[in-house]
Amino acid sequence: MSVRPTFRIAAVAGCALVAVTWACSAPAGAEQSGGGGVVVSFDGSISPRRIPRHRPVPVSLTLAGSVRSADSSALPQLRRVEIAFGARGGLDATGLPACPRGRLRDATQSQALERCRSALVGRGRIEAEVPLDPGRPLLAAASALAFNGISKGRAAVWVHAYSTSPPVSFVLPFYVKRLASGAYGTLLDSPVRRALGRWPRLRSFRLTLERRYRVGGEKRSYLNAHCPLPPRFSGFGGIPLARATYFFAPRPTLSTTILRGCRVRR
Amino acid sequence: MIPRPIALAAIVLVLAAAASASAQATEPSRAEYVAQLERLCKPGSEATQRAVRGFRADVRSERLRLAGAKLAKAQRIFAGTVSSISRVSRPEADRATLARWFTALQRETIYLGRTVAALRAEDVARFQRVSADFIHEGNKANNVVVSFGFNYCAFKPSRFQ
Repeated sequence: MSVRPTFRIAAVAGCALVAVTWACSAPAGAEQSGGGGVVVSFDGSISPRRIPRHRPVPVSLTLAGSVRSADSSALPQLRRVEIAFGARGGLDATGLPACPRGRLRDATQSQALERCRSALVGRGRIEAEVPLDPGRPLLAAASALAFNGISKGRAAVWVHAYSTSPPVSFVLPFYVKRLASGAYGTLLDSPVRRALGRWPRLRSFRLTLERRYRVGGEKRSYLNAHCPLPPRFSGFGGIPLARATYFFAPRPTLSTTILRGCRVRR
Repeated sequence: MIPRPIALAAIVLVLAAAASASAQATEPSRAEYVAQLERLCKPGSEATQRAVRGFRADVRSERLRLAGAKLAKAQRIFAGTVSSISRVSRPEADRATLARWFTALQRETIYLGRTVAALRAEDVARFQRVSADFIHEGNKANNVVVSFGFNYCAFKPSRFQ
């Protein structure tokens, strides 16, 4: 396990970091978009939803998405997925141990935890199908663990997925990029097809990122957020929480933005 | 000589067949329908983006009346677009789905109007409530026709910058 002082991307992430559009009182269901015979959905939330107006506090971020064909034909192959979030920040992995990706390769879930527990930053589920018989594709529902990683000196998140039946183990890499402009501050970019190979098709994912840890006695959190509503706004802001862009091979490219609110904690 | 009742029946059948053929000829496929609606929605969508430019900043800075004026313009464009697309002939197989979509669009128009009223009244609490309904209804409307692959005719909050 390599422990490296890491990325000063920013201390703030998540829901509360963007300009207010307008209010939004309840988490809606997953937003969907479609085109080219494909329908994608994207959902997300931040917990807790009641957070201070100015001071960033530790939060967890849940992101979920799915892919389906519009007419129950074979599931299209997802080439790449990008998830943008956190207007003024991103993941703060300062002082957090990083797990080399190679240590997760072909590992069971318990082996992955044993090797990289100190770099654990999230958990979730991934569903993929293998259309060996297009009429009855093989479905793999895998438990997922997310680990802090480093790729070419830059932040990354390794999502290790493991299923016992059928026996499947793979690592989905998400490369972290800092965005200098636009509504979001952090981009997670995953080359899904390269990671999964020729046959498997990603069907859905659900990941909750959260990690609190100590560095030199100081408490830190992998994700922090505040609720920057204007003074007279006490409730929720309809705030762009995240945007997912799904790139299919050879097409289409579908993008979905989700608005989620926050409540000001006094 | 053909007996009169048979001749009449034959004429009725011919007319019915002609009417059916004519209806099939004018009824668009889903792809044609989507293309036609997108052509109608595009100018409104672009005009809306221009009309609401700076809207988020106005709300953030609590210039609510100004934000209300911008949204009122968007509301007029939206209502006009809904009215023009509702007159387009719909594919037979999608009629039920599209009826649900247009119902949702009508509700969106109502919620948009309420949002404008709340902004004009500078009523923050009401604005937060009714705009949530507007966004929720917009998402619901999108989900009804998600397989159609609309772009300009879809509700996209990102257009309200």
